[in-house]
Amino acid sequence: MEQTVMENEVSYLPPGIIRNILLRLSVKSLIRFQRVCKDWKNLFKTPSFIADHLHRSTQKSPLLVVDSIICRSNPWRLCLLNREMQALEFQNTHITNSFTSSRVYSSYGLLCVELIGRYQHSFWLWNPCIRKLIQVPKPLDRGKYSVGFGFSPIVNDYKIVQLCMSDDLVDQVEVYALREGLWRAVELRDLEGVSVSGRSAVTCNGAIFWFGLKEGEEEEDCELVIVSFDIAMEVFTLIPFPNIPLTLESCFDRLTMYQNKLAMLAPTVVGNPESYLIDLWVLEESTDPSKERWSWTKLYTSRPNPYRFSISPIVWRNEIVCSLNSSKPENHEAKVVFCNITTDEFKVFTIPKCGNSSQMFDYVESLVLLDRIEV
Amino acid sequence: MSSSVEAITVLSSDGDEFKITVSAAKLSKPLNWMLEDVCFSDDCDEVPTIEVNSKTLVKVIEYCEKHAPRANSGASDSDAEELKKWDIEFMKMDVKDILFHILMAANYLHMEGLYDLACQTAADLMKGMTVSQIRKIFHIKNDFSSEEQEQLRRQHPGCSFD
Repeated sequence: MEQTVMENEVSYLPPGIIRNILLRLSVKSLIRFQRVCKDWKNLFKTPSFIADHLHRSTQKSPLLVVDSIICRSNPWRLCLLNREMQALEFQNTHITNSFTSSRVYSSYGLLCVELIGRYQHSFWLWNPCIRKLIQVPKPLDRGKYSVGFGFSPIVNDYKIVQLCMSDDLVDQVEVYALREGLWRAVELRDLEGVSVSGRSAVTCNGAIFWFGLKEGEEEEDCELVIVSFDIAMEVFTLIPFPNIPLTLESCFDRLTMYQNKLAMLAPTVVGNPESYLIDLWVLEESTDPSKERWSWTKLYTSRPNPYRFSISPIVWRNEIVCSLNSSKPENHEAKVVFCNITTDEFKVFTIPKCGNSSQMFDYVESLVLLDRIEV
Repeated sequence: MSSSVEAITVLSSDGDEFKITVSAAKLSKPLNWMLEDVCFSDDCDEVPTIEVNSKTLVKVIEYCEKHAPRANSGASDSDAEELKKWDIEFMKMDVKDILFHILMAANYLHMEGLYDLACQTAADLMKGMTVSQIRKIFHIKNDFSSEEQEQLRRQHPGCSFD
């Protein structure tokens, strides 16, 4: 059938409908369509558009970062998988500062990159899909420290938390909030007499979590705890450790997020020849005053499998994901195991990998920082 | 409204008559309100007008009739899967010409499912378009100076613009 009848009929869509269509476009398309007209360019920069777009992407298109290559001489790179298990890559930004190693933290569409040099360290906020990088003012440099990064929907802001330690105990905390743009000291309160493990920060539901060790009366009676930091209120809380057989050594890097709650992945060895089970524990918070405030529930146990889940396993969507081998830089691929929590199925994927980071984390494309001027 | 009525008659903005089953009309809030209105009692011959043109209304009714059984009774996963495929096929038809009309109709008739589907279809179509094609279909005038365009191009060198 000929469709030329409508040719002359001008159909102007109301701005509300256009906005709803645009919210469904990828960041890449939106960046391209900034050039359509000034109205659109300005719309994409409004905080409400950025927030609505991010909210939609978080629901629809969570990505998994399988590798991040932050180095001095080449553009920074992120290797990702989308939900269809296709590999993607972001490559941009490159700075000339000198550093020896790096660590990447991800929360709600924004990355915090910590560059560690011999004498000092620095933080950068990076949105790779819009190619924007912002340097955070200089933090305290005091030797041993732990870092956390996260977004709180309550205050609608991103914060970096740095816990400085002396004699292994946290003695100073400072917080950087993106909106304020400066570092501020925060009171320790419950954090007195606690040491925090630097490698384990996980952010979910407006809080940052670390593994901690609470000093007892005697030197030997130290107690394992989970340290939580409420990003909006800036208050620390100590949460009891789940009653599961874990040694401190084996539990590092095992915190993750599941259905917007803090979760822990605990592998156990069974049988002969050796095989493994992996348990998923989830932290529940009760508002009922007659019950314990915090409780850990085992939500899932996998069937026996040959994978050790020893390198920083995480939960992504409804899969437990773990790298199987720390790949060498000359090795361009790595094997990653996916254990589906719903179907109890195991799948091993070979993914392109160019760096040697074993850090995997979830990520979502966003327009965050589009309204910022690059420094 | 008497419960014996199974289908109602409505007029399009072009003045054509259309029949829509009661269960299908329930997918739209305004149509549902009309159902509860007296004008559908048997002794009334006034036919309500829906401010949607005939060509669009045909599509909207087709969508409603297809989705009504599921919306009213809930459906199994296989039905949902089937419906998803149907939606894709449904949106494949001459969308460029009437998609915007369907969007406006779905918005005006408060039909969340159809509105979502049409927005997503429009977004998917836009992905493959150039900036000038976008301006054309949305009737937007390019209000950037050539310097401003050049600056945007420089800021995002990774994106090919046209």
